[in-house]
Parts: sequence; structure tokens; C-alpha cells
Amino acid sequence: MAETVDAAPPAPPSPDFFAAQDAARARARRLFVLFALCVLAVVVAMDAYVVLFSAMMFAHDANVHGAPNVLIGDVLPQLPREVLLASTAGTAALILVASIQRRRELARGSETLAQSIGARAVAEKPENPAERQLRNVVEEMALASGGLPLAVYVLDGESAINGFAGASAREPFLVVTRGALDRLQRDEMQALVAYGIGQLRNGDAKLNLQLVGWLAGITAIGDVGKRMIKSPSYVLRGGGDGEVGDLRKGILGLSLFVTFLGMFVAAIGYIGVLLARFVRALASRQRVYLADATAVQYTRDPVAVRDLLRRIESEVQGGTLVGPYKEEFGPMLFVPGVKRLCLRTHPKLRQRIARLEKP
Amino acid sequence: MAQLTWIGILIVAGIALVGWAIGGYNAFVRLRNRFQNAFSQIDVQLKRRFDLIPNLVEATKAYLTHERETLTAVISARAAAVGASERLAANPGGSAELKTLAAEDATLTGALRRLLAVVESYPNLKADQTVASLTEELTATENKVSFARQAYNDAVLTYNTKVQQFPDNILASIFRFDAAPSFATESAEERKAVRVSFG
Repeated sequence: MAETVDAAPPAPPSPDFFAAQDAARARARRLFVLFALCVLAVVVAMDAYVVLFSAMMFAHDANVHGAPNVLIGDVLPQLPREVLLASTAGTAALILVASIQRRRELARGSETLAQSIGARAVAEKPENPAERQLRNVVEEMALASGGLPLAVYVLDGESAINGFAGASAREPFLVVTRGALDRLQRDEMQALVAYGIGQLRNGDAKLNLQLVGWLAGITAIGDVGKRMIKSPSYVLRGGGDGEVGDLRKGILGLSLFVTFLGMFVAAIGYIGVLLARFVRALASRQRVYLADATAVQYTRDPVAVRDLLRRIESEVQGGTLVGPYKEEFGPMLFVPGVKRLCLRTHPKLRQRIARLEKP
Repeated sequence: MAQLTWIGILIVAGIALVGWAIGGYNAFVRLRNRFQNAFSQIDVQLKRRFDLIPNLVEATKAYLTHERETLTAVISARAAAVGASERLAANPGGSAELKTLAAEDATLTGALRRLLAVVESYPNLKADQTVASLTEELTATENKVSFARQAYNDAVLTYNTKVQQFPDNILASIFRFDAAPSFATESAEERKAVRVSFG
């Protein structure tokens, strides 16, 4: 419960938010360059795949039609340029469209975004005492950060303690899990909220949402590959009674071929996603320490932030989430929503606690 | 030719100086607006708290017949704080009035803390729904007052640092931007108030 801290309170947060926003924009530019390189890698890989495959087809064709021992190397220069162009344009277009579409979805306002992940809004004056306390805590932290109150949402389906903040169409919002609402003490909830507000103030919330959009573009390639792999099931599904006529057998054969092609596409897509996640992980880890420190500065209570981290550490599930957003919104969460050994979005809990223990 | 170069240098230097002055002035205004806004927030929260206290006193009076002094302390501290707040409203920016308000605020916070601790120690009082929700509201309001104060002090600190540091202090004295008073209280008890969680 209460602990009197006799040492001087920590220095106030760097209140020059303009500098913070400028720095955030510079970081965003650097990250964008890295992401663009990932996209380039994927496009080049796809081009190589398409070109090689086309060359193989041509060579095979030539061999079959009486010009034996034609090597791929002979065929390559004869390939029409259009193949390369089509492959590059197609891949780039797919990535761009998927990315833009996701960004549009994310910019429709906090209510829409929250609903899309299944979070429920918390009323201004809730009946439920736990929610009222949450509301009060959010207003307190909004005061401490010198800003306006946020919209608050609860993820009822999540029993782990976690949360994140973001802004959509200039509407800042905060999401906490049901687990957090039910189990956290007042000061721990304050720490969680302060962390989210800190992310908003430091420009990280905005950047993280941008990353979600960019990553969606690169993920699209892998998704297309996966669909290609699954194409036989689409063919088989449309028909229903088990009888496979000759035409459908033909289409089935074609779809198996598509599956084969799709494996490579999915592999390229997956590697692209790994690269992009690597870039994302690099970006987010340091910012977590900063957000922790900002939370301490707003609450003036390092003990609360530490207690919150310790409590999550002590639970077996940690902050692990169930919903599909746990991967996409990974860096935005207070603690990782997915247990993983590499490409971590956050520093280990132990390290974060240790940093807060320093005087 | 050399004369033209000198004139050129002077003009560039002049423009740079004016640019610095404009930037500095805007920064002072921006930072001053920020702490003035923060101050009005404190006012809002103080009023909320003043309004909430009579309800809490009413709800707990029946149970706390043996704790008359605690309740009386709260009521009188509130009256004093309201008075100090009104005096400050009549003379905005007055540092003496601000100091008085800060002191009365500290007294009131102390009295409220004692009342909340008493409520905590009477189980049937704690269990009462009305009291429970009022206690949460009061804790929240105490915290809000404290955080509003904190935000104000932070904003004042930034402003004062800008106004007092060289070379901006030259600009500040030209444009007549003075250091602002902080809503500080030396009482350690005050600082404790925020950390106690009754949840």
C-alpha cells in the first residue's frame, strides 16, 4: 500500500513536446527507409522467382519441342522485359494497396478501431465501480500529462493483464484488458495508464500504428501465397457432394500447380515479414524503456510501475493475449502479447524492472 | 567592396537576431499559456473537491458519532481553503494568496486523509455502498488536485527555466516575462497523500 518516498521526486518529464514530436518524426522517417528496403527485398525476390520460373518453363518448352539441352541461362536474356515489369509492378502494387487499405481502416476513428478488435467502450460515468475507478485514473493521468482525457475501452475477452494506447483520426484512446480491470490495484492501474499516455506523448503510439500499416503491406504477399496453397480446398468446396467430374479434375490439377507456386510465394512473403518484424523490434525496444520512465514521471511513483511489472511477471500467462491483434499491435502493448524467443518487441520484464530499481 | 561585405554580414546578423527574438518570444508565450491552463485545471479540481466534501461528511456522520473531531476538522479546513481560493480568484497571480491557498490546501488534504483512514477502520462504514463510492470519488479528486498541481508545477518549471537561463533571460527581461510562482508545499504529508491507495 502506501510507501513514503523521502528521496526527491524524479525530474519532471521533458515538457518540450514539440521537440519530442520532431524527434518522433525523424525516427519515423528512418524507420520508413528501413521498411522500404524490406519491401524492395521482397519485390526483388519475387522478381527473381518469377524470372527463374518463366525461364524454366521456356527451357522445358524448348527441350520438349526439339531443341534439347537448352539451359536456363540461354533462355534468360530472351525473356521479354514485360515479365520482369509485370512481376515488379504486381508485387509493388499488392504491397502498396494492402498497406493503404490497412491504414485507412486504422484511421476511421477510435470507436471503429476499438470495435474492430472487439473492445467495448467505457462510459463517461460508469455504474461499475471498477470501471469508475478506471475512468478516474485515466482522468488523473490526463491531468498529470497536461492533456485532454482519452476514450477508454476494455477487452473483455482477455484475462491477462495488458493494455495499449493509440490514436485514430486524432482521437487518442486507451485499451485495457479485462484482466487488468479486475486484478490491478489503483496505483498499478495508474502506472498502466501513465505508460499509455506516455507513449502518446512521445509520439510512439502514432509511429507504432504507422508500423502496423506498413507491415500489413508486406504481410499481404505471404497471405496471397497462403491462399494459393489452399486453392485445392476452394475447388473442392464448390460442389459439395463428393463427385468430381472431369472438368473439375482438370481444375483441381491446375490448383495443385497453383499450390506448388504458392509455396514459394508464401516463403518469400514470410521472409519479408521476418525482416519487417526485425526492423520493428529494433525500433520498439528502446522506446519501451522511455515509456516506462515517462510513466514514472507522470505518476511520480516508480514503485507502482515496478509493482505492475512484477505482478505481470509473477503470472504464468504474463501479458499473453488471445485475439489476432496480439501480433499486429505487438509493439504497442505494455508487455508482449506473444511469448517468443527472438524478434522480441519488448525488453525482458526482468530488465525493465531492473532499470526502474536504479536510483 | 569590403564595405558591402560588412553591410551584408550586419544584415544577416540582424535577421538572425530578430529571428531569435521572435522565436524566444513565441516560446515564452507558449510556455506561459501552458502553465496558465494548468492553473485553471487546478481550480476546476479544487472546486470539485470542495463540492464533494459535504456529501462525504453527510454520508459518514451517522456512523462516526465518536469521530466528531475528524469531521469538524474536515469541515473547517474546507471552509478555510474555500476562502483562500476566493481570495486568490480576486487577485489572480498574487503569490501571497497562492501561498496561503497552498497551505490551506495542505491542511485540508491532511484532514481528508485522516477521515479516509477512519472510514477504512470501520468495516461497516467501508462496506456501505454510498460511502464506498464517495470514498473512491474523493480519492480520485484528491489525486486529481495533486496531479493538476504537479502538471502546473512542471509547466511553471519549464517556463521559469526558459525565462531564467542565459541567453533567453535577456529576451525575457526585454519583453517583461517574469518567473511564475509554483504551487509548492513543503509538507511531506502532502506528498504522501497521492501514494496512498484505498483500493
